[in-house]
Amino acid sequence: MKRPLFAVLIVMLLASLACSVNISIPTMQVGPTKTFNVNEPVPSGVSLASVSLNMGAGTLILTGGASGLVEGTITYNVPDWDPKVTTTDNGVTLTQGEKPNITGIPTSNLVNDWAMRLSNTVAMDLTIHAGAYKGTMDLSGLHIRSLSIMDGASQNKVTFDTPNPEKMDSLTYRTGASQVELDGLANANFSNMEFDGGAGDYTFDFAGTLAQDSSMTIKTGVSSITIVVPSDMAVTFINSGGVNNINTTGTWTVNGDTYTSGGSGHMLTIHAEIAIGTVKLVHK
Amino acid sequence: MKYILKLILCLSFIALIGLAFPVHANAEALPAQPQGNTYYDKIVFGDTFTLGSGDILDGNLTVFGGVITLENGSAVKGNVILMGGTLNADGDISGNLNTLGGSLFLADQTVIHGNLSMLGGTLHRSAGAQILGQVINGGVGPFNLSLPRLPFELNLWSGFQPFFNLFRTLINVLVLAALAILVVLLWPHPTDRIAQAVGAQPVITGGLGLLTVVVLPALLIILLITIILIPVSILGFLALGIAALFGWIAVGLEVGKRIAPMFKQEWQPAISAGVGTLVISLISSFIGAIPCVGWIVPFLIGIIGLGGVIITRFGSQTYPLAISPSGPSTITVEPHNPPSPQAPSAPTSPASHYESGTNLSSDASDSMNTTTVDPTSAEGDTISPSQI
Repeated sequence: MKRPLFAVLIVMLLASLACSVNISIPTMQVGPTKTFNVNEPVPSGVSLASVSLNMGAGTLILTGGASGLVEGTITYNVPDWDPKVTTTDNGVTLTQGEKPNITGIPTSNLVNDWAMRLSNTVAMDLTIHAGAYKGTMDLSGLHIRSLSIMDGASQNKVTFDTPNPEKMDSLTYRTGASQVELDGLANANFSNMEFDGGAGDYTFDFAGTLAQDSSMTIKTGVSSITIVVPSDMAVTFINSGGVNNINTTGTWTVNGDTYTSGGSGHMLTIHAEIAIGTVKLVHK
Repeated sequence: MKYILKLILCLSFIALIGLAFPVHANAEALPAQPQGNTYYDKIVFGDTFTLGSGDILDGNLTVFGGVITLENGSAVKGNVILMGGTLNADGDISGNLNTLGGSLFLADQTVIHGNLSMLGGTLHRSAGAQILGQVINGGVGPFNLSLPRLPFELNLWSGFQPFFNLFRTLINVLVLAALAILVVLLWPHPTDRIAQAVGAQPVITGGLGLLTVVVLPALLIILLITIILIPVSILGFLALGIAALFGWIAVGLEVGKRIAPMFKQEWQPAISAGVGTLVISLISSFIGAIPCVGWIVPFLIGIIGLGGVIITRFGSQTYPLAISPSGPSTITVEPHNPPSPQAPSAPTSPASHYESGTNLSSDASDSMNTTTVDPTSAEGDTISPSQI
């Protein structure tokens, strides 16, 4: 009995397999590599410019040193990703072309490299939207009034080696499962910073000197957080999330879920709501 | 007569599976091109995508590591799955929103008609954002088998909707049971090894399964960060899903083997797997409908099965570890020392000694017993210590 039953089932299984079970994983279609040059001047009479960069997967290198508002090149080989430049009275928006229902898995052949330079002389509101990309953003010396970065699963490093001449009203970073490193955050000169991340590895280095009292909110999922502060900075770290694995290096005073480290000058207050993971507090 | 009934039952199950394929083929044949502001099933890999105001995505939206914006007035007429990406929603989602390691921002005009399931991510929910289903934070039911999308809309009177849902659940359960029968027929020994491990060590396999569920997705999400490894991550999730399904069926087999004696019957392993999978799937479905805590039972079954798959390496080896018999037909373990009539030892279970780490010879010596094992009672040419 078993053998006929088995045979019938096998036959039916094979017959059902013949009903064209296709598992086709879509891949991103690439073509010849193109280069798109960007050279946008500073709008006349504008004291506060707006710059928006919207890209998908690829690499983004952002620095200062532009003679105009935005300069640089975009090198890409996805035919439907032709960049689009939109100018307004006070700024410019660079957007990667998008056609509906054409996305697939990016392969190693994909090229989408954005190398951009921004003005060192004009105050700006900077907005960056990106997908799964690798970013290197050296924002040293830029006049940034507000900064908003939103990306997907990414690997990004943002650096402020020199103080931001402008008081930054807000610094917002929203990311998915990413590896993000923010260096020289004291130089960013922000009053409020919000960081929201999914599962990932996040490093916040507050090298530099605070020009004003600053507060920061960190909200992440399963993540590893490292916060590095200079030895002379006054810091309060308040843990209000589920994580209880907090390691400290340097001198910290622990009072329940509040960690403080003495110093002079302006105060940095960090509110953290981290679901699961580890936190390293380094006072060096 | 009962064999004929079994055959008809099995064929019915298989036919249900077979019926699913043409439906799927029709679904694939749906037009892929947008019509105005209407999109269809969309998968986003590491890209940015905005569903503008007035736009409709008539299908499911799946995001791997990308950034998605659903503007106010937009609508997704299906489920949204977010893995490692960022979602800014201010629109309408008809189905469920499931996220793994991503960041969710739900603005005031967001309406989610189904459930919100989160694992390892973050949620920012404005006061006006509505979630009409459950909010499940920290766990996702191990199985939500979705039938292929039909090429036409079923415009049922709303009063029939609960019955339709029940019917769909029953179909899902029957398909799972049919799959269990096939799996056991095709891979009887691996499935049985997993079932034995699950039955012998449910705590250990459950713990391992839980660890796998916690750690592996996190690792796979990290792989998403690197664009090139996105396919590896996808394959990893696929393997995890297959392992979970395999484990579920193995648990079903173990349950089926225990159900048979209740009816004073001896079933073939395939029948045991089918019945057992049918039972646990039905129970899980009904218990799963209980708000807040309903997910616990299917989750426990899922992690025990998954742990069984992992600990037996997809059923390629027995657990606890097998001992190869030295004799062709029987194994006789003689005590090294003859029993002393003056000081008889207390009877001790050889199995418990084995588990404590001592070797088989000394066990026999300690217990002053002679243990005889018939390898034919074990599968293949190995036996597990629990059978000694």
